[in-house]
Amino acid sequence: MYPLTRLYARKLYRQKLIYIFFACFFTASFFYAFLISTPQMEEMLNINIGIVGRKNFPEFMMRFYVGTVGILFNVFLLTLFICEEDRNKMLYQPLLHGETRSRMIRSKIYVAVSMSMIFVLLVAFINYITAFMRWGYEIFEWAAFIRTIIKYLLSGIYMSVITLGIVTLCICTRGVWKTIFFVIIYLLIDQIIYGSNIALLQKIWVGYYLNLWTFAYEYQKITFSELLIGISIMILYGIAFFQISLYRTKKIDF
Amino acid sequence: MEKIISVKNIRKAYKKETAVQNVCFELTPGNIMGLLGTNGAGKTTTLKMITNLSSKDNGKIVIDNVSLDENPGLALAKVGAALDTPSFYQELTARENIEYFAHLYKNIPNGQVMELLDYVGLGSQAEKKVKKFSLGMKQRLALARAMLGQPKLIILDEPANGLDPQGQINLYRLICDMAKERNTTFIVSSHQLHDMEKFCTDILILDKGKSILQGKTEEILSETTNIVDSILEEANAARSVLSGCKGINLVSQKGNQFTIRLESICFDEFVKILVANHLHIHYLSMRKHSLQDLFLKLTGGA
Repeated sequence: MYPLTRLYARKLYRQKLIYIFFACFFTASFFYAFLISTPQMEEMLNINIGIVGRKNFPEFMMRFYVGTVGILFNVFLLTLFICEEDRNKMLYQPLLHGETRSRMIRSKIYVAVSMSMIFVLLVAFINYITAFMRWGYEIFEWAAFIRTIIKYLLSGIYMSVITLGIVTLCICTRGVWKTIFFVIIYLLIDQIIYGSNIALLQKIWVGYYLNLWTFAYEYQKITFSELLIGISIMILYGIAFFQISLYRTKKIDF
Repeated sequence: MEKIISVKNIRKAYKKETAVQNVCFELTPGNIMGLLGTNGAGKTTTLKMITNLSSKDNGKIVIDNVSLDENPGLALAKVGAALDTPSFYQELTARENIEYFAHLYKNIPNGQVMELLDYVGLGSQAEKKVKKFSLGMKQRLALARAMLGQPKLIILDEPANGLDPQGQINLYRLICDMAKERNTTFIVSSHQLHDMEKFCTDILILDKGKSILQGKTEEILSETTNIVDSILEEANAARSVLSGCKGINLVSQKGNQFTIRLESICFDEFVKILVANHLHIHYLSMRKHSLQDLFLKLTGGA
């Protein structure tokens, strides 16, 4: 690993926010697995534990992270990681020690993207742990297990692309609140587009595929064509965000 | 002679305002160049262009025979810099902060971090978190960070800010020692003209982005005219005589205290003029033109 990437990784994983967030997430997952499966709670929350529990529980819990919560969590971390460093005059420090702008932003991107992927896998791990504690080996029904793991991996790809988008926003706006504002706007537009009937717009919108995979194909296998188109669109968005970040970083006047 | 840095006609404009234009200079090993100017004169912009933190509109910068445009990584590998207000990771200790950046270098031996901290007088504070440091301590820590990798050129932007008088003297001594012992070249921007005059080998004064004076400090100060401090009776009469004389420039007047710059006449001739005009002299003292006098004259402050 390149020294700067390793340093950024060490710096990021020192953030207490990460550990607090995942402790809260574990608590929430535990609460859902153990407490909502009482008949009274099922009725009160209008859910059917027969559907959302057991082998489907990890997939059911995935939606609590992937999407709004995970994106907002990532945006808080990344604004600390990029915008706050920029404000504190720390972002450019590696450049005064022989690093290039390109290497600096690439290192930031590698750390940020791998972080978002690791977080999705960590969410999967937590959900499987709590599900196992509640239902035991029942959760490992082979077809459901493979389907869920694929969905987690797809969500990881989506979150990585969104992370690249957030990095791009951080570099372009160079402000914490501006970045958070634009991310909230994205989340609102995402809901509007998913709810709309404009097929062409949906097909080119990166967030549409996550909604498709997690809601339209809930507890079902995703068709190969939807999978291929979705991944292709995400890769295109990812490349675009990566190139814009590189270009903008080269143009910044610190 | 070997040049550590060569800056040619660099220019930077922000929208309609030109921040820096046609600044040129060259420095050889062991030189200490004082970069002077009023606030907004373009000092920090110049330093940021040299360190590639800010793009330049045109011009050329070569550091140790490597063009900054062609190979910024290699060119800046020979440069250490402390710009703006010193910034660090507040939650890390002084040692951890320096170690963090030391990882970016391939050949930093173990123990060099502590050596650097000792060198800047922070050895005993190495395990203290930076958030508990005073501004002066942060300035010294920034210097230690700039010294990582034994750069040939160190750029310091107002390093004496926040230092007490003793701290300033220690810092300047440190810079002079490094320049002499290690042949390190320095570019130091500062408002401490009195100190800069003493320890800089070269001077560059910027005003509104333009270089208005540059050269060897000794030459600049020896070429310049003399200053006379005087107390004369009959202030009004003295004023009219002094303002009407050729070769004399009345710099300032406070009551009957006059500061006069002798531009094309010598001190004896000046005394003769006073006597010829029947001006009573209470006090008369000539001093050499200081960098501060020169700076004020050139930037319109006097």
